[in-house]
Amino acid sequence: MSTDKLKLYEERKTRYLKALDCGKPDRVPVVITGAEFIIKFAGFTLQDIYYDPEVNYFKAMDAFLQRFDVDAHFGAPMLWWGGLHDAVGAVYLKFAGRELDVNTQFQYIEGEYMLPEDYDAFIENPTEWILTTFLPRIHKEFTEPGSYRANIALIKGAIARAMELEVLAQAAEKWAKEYGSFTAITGLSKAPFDTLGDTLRGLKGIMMDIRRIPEKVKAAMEVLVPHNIYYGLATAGGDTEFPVFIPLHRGAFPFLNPKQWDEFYWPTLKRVIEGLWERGKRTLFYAEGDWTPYLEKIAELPDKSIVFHVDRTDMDKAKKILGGRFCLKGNVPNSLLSIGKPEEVKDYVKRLIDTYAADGGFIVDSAAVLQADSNPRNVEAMIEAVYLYGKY
Amino acid sequence: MTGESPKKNVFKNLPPGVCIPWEEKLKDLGEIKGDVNTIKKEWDKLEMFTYLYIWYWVHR
Repeated sequence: MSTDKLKLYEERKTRYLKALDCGKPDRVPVVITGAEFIIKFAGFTLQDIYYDPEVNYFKAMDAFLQRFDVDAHFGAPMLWWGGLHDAVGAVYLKFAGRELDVNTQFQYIEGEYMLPEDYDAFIENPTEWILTTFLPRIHKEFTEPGSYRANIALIKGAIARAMELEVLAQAAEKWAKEYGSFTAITGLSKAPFDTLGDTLRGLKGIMMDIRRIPEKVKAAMEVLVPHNIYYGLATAGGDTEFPVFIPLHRGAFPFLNPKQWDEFYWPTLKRVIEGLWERGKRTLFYAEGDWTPYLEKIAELPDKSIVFHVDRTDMDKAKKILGGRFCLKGNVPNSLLSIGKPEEVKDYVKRLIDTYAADGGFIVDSAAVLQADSNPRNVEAMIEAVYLYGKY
Repeated sequence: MTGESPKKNVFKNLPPGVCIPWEEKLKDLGEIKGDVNTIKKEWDKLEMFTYLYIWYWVHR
């Protein structure tokens, strides 16, 4: 790495880590959580990104990092490689260029891929249940387990995943060397309720289950706690400097009422976060939607164990209840970044910094993941405003 | 999917990171003439990657 890029990398990292630790760095850090925005800005189709890792990890990110001077980012714009999904015949994602127009965002086909009668086998041994029951349901190539096609698909899927991780490692090295840049997170995990409610039972299934078979739901979530801690740590490759990403879904108000939230959502999520923190790993509590009613409960977590990302949660209340003990991150509205004017974006960022960042422990970011409709001029204005008003 | 009977598990209560317990593999390997830990270390490493691949399809 050249001396100037190494210096830049170290400056940004020191700034970011200081803010995560509720401290006051030289300036408020600015992070971009970019996805389809990066693709559109870089001039590629969504099919290019979903299907060509060279475009996803290198070409699109080159264009993005050359233009946007951010302290940290969320890595390549697309998490899912179409080639890997085709190798196994994954049935729940539709991709641009395959079933969808080349510029249509991927679609997730939610379903009850786990059935109510699967709970016992899942609880007994979730890893085995996923391999023997869940994967054949979501992977068309596994329809006849043990067949030639199924065996080929299993080998191909695992190889594809290893290839994808290798490309990611090479890309991370390039981002650091050429741009002094890094990803804001290492590793991924989930709230146990979301593990069940997102990909396994689906929203309809889990909402029925908490009424009909609540004890099974609780037992399954108990089983998930150590797995979700382990998955977060293992996917971070042992790193404990940067937070693990936990995107939070069904816990946003009002998917569950507060009583259900207290009973089903929070206890096991809290234990996952505490378990990670006991092992030195902080969580990026990516609170999509509105979490205002739950702030007092979230404040029960150990100091500094999370970075609380604000989307539509009341920022005043978040600051009052969590500020000083947890770093806050957010929340430039995506609507403003799409249809606002650059001056309006700058005014919003100035207000954010003036009102919430004075004591440190604050990071500027968009409220939610940036979509293709974000205006590059507005994203640039967001960054410029941080440089202009964010110095301590 | 309706009407499909849940498959019976071979193993119970495996900890995270384990797909096939080392103790089970050890039975297959029989007498180990060299250092058992050298062999176990590699086994455990591949267990972890296999586990992560299986769970990758859930944690998304």
